[in-house]
Amino acid sequence: MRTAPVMVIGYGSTLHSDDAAGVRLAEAIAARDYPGVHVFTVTQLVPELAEPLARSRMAIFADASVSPPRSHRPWRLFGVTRLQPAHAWGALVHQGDPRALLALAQSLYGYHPPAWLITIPGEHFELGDELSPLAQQSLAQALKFVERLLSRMSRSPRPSSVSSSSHFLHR
Amino acid sequence: MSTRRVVIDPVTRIEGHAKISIFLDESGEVRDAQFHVTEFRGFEKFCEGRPLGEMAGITARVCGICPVSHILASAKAGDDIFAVDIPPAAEKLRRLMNLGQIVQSHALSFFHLSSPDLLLGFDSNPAQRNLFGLIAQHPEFARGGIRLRQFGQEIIELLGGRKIHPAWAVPGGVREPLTPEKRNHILCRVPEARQTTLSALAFVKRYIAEHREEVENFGNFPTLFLGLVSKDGAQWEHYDGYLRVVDSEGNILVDGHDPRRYTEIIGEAVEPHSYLKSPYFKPWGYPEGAYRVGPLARLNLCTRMGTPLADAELAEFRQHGNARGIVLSSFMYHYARLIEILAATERIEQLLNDPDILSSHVRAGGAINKLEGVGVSEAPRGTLFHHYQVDAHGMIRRVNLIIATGQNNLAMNRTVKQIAQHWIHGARDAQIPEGLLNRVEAGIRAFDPCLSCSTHAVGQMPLVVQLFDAQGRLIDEVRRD
Repeated sequence: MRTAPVMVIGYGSTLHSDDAAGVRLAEAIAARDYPGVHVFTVTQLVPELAEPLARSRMAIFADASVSPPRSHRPWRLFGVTRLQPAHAWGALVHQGDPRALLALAQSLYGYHPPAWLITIPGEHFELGDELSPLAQQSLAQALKFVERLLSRMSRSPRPSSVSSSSHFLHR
Repeated sequence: MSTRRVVIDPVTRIEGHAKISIFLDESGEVRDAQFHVTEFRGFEKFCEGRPLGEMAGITARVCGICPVSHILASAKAGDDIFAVDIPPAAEKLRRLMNLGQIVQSHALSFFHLSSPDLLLGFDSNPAQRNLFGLIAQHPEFARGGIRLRQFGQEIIELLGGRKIHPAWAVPGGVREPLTPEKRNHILCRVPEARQTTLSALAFVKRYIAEHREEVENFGNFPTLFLGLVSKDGAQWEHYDGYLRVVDSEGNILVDGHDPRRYTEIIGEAVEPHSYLKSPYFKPWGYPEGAYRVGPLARLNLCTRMGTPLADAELAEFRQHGNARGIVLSSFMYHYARLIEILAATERIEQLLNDPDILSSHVRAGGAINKLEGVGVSEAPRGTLFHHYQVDAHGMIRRVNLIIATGQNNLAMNRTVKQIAQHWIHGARDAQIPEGLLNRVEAGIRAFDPCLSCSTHAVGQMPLVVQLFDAQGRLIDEVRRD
């Protein structure tokens, strides 16, 4: 029996320096070729992503942020947030946010996976191809975190349960 | 004269880049309205010094919705610099991808962004007047829209890869031919896409018949229209052809114009309230030369769509126009968009049944043979111009991009003003009904502006509505996330 995949979605503009951090994380995950992990890199979140989301056992979104994470772990540069579905699709723009995608998956396909948002703080968002030192450092930390999670899940003899993923992500 | 100001201000996580300001006079009537966009300047400069071959990839990264438009316009500018004619199969494959792009982009605009207004009502509860409210009340309609968008996206991905490969369309042609398996896969999905579109068309026609006041006061004014038409008989065109300009009476002002000579007919102005460039028809000057591009313009410009179902729809569409069939209300962008999706499904089928489409000859060799090139195609939102100058080694020296949303800038301002003037009266107190604000916002949505493309910006845009009194004090604010 095939196990439902884990979905990693990195999003942001690769033209705007640190805004590419989420995409860079997803690209790095894709390069490792984890079994059962489907990686998407997109400039912006679009509705059709709801369909593969509804077929996933877990989703990890990765995005850049302009502010540092609110966390009681001062050593952690990146943020981890458990996502809940929300009906929050912008009215003028062509992009949704991850909570809206979860809600869309639930509304259209009757299921949404447990999902987390990894936020990678940056400091430069002007036109450019390079990540700032802060974004590079945050990305490296976040990448290790996601890699540990995915390695652990891929070693698991059966699909990781929601609770075990949740426990890991909140350690 | 002192005025009060209503501001509809989307704020971004990075920097504000769009808002709507409505200026009231002392009696609470709307004096003026403006659509503001803050541009991240310097994109053209950012491209300078890069190799010509990278331009498709760089410009495609501007936008996650219409990267294909930039890839194709960029590749065409490269064709011009190489001074090559690309193989027939390459042109057909580029056309196929552009049609997929039109389908997916128009489906997003109509089904996801605009149909909640139409199906649930402009005055309905804003908490439900969105994609989710639509799913709750019209689930099959919403699912159909999402599948239609998937169909267009699938065409793009089958040709260019899941992450559209920036180098798929290259100067001289395309990199990969189409396989019979992929062709057959797309063909199988055409009937469902067409049926979804026909159902949506039937709905829009009913809506227009039942909401005359809405349609008549929704950006209904004379402007020029500009876009590409085919070289043979001025049919509906989306990839190549000549530039045509018609006025609101249907008089053809420019015809058979080589798009590479666009600077002869298009000027670019900048308004102090917006960083978005405002292109205009040069012979008429600014702002009299305001013109519209995109679906409504393309249908007003062409002699026929060139496919049976879409031609029948065009004939019906033109009954809403003046004596020469020119349709002026910006509301009709929605209607035009659906007719274009229908035409796209027909043309996709034609292309896939064309023997050339499976040819392995998809790329002409070339080198830098000219130091300047222009690539023009029709993006979903309107005519897109990429103009490059290079040195002898093919390094970019200068770039100019003219984007559809910029070309519609003047018309969007007039649309906002007309809607506001029609619906807002005696707004002396601090309360502007939600439905009125939504109509103003919907006036912009009708043009389906691509703020990523027009500003090269990023970010979410929750909506903040602010009301200022005559002294400029903020007296009310509404935020919609």
